[in-house]
Amino acid sequence: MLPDPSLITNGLVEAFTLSNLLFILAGVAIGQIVGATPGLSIIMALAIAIPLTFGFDTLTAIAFLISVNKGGTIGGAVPSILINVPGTPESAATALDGHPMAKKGRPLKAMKYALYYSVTGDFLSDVVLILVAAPLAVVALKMGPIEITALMILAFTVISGLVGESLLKGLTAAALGFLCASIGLDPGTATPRFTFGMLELYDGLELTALSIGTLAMSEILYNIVGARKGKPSAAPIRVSGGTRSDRTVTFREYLANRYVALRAFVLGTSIGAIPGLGSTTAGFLSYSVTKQAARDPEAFGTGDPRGIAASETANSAVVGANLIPLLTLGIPGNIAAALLVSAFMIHGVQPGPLLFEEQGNLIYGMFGAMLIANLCNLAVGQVGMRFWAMIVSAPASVVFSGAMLLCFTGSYVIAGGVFGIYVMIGSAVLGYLMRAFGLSIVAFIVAFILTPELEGAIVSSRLITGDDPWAILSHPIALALLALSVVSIIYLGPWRRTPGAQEDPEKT
Amino acid sequence: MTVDRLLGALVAGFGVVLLFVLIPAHVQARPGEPVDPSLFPRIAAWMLMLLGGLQMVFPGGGTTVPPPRDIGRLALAVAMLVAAALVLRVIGFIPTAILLMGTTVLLIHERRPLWAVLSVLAVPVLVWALFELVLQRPLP
Repeated sequence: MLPDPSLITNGLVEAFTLSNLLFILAGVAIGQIVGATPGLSIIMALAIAIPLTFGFDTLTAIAFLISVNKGGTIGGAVPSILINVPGTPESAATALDGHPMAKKGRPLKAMKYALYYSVTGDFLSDVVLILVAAPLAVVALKMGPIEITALMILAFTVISGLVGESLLKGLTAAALGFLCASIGLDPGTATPRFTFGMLELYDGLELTALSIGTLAMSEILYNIVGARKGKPSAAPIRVSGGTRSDRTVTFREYLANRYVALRAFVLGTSIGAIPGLGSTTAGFLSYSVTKQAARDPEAFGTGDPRGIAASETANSAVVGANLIPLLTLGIPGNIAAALLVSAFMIHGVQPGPLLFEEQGNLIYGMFGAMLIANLCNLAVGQVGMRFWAMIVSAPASVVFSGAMLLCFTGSYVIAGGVFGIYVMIGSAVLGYLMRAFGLSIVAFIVAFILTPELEGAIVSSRLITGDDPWAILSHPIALALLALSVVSIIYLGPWRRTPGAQEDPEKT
Repeated sequence: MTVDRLLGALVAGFGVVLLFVLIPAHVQARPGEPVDPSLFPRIAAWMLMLLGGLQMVFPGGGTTVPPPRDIGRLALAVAMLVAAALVLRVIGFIPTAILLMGTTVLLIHERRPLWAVLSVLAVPVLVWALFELVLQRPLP
């Protein structure tokens, strides 16, 4: 059954408080600034921002983090356009036409194209999420532990196969995630596992400290380790100057690419709803499809607004759709969703289909906050784009030292002591090595988050079936899901390789 | 032997150690419990052995070991972080942060005085102010 309409309106109204609006504004501004800073990723910003939300109420915390994520997709376009270096991986396709347009003396116009199409894709994707999440959650609630076990096995094979270098490395990373998550007291019997007599490990490894280490600090270490003497920073294109038409995008110009944007939105939303695929895939796929479908493909790469529309609409349409597997099945489809799980858990909320029944106000409040964040993104981007252009050449010393200290302090605060810092450092080294050897950090984190639920589902399944493997024959949905897992293993198996996947931080 | 084959051997070897040494030593089921707490760690250990073995058979190629210089710089950065964690409660947040930022700036090879001073002095004060004053989270 769908939730009571009054629950929906109450939730949406809850999002419209002054403090929520201020935190949404702050979130999109921080996201845009971080996205505009080459070397800082949105994932890093999200991981660092989670400890900041420790004292917030749940809705404000989630709204703030979603706003940082949304702002980042727009901010990432700024260095792509101005220095041909993507601020975030998903903006890489934007550089293909954005930078040539900037070189022709229209950098502000290129950034505004990116802003408008990004907000369009993001908004439409949010609408799809709002419309489909609740009905899908109702279906998900009908599944028992056997179906949930089968669904998680499918999720792991798909995510492990699609992210990183290969299915084998993806599943290896997932196995490491299972192992790390089993540290602490066993949920069923309260037996200590791998605690080595340390009381701090009885509650397991702190999720946020682990996320900060593997996602943010490992990236900072990667940049610090790779820093070389006298490495020059790129000089950005100046945004001032030119005629009015070089600095603005008219409504007519915006509408001229409506079909390109519509196709990009459909592609981005579809890709976003599949666990494991992300904004970078959506941006490049949409750009490539648009170029192939064009009558004049040779115009792409020379500063064609259709290229910006295709890339930005698609990569932003992923943001809302990525939450569909999380809210309906409790499976985080990408790292941003996994980090939101961490934020939900800090506030004592378990993401999944039950959220619509148990926390209707929170979910619809979150949907309201997402819609407000789109408007704020537009407003902040409209005013801030020219200022973010100055951040593009920020020195690495300030950027990475600041990010490192935020990780260090955030881990201390979130774990309530120095032990959180040690967890963060250990995870950072693990993350660095996983990155270096092509093991997917996405698969690792998703496995770490899902292990308690998977373990519970396996134990319940064994009790229900009395350890009889043939009992699964009376569960056709579970059988179908397991069959899909086998198909995905065959399709994405060890013989398939994805060269260059390790270069995409979103995928590793 | 390629790096991927070596990685597969290490992963499989870790799975063996996990299954036969670490799990028996550090996950002990109490008699009479209906659910074995070592079930999930054993699943992870078997996965590591199997996947490591398959990795040796199907190496991906293209993976390289980071150069010794990078490993050395990584060790230095990690040692710096551990040292900062050790002295945090002894000397307090701001002095620790200044030392941490100072060594980070040296590692990044920042030689411009303005940016170096900004990183070493302003960043610690700003981060302290963010947590202590804005977020009301006490720091040592």
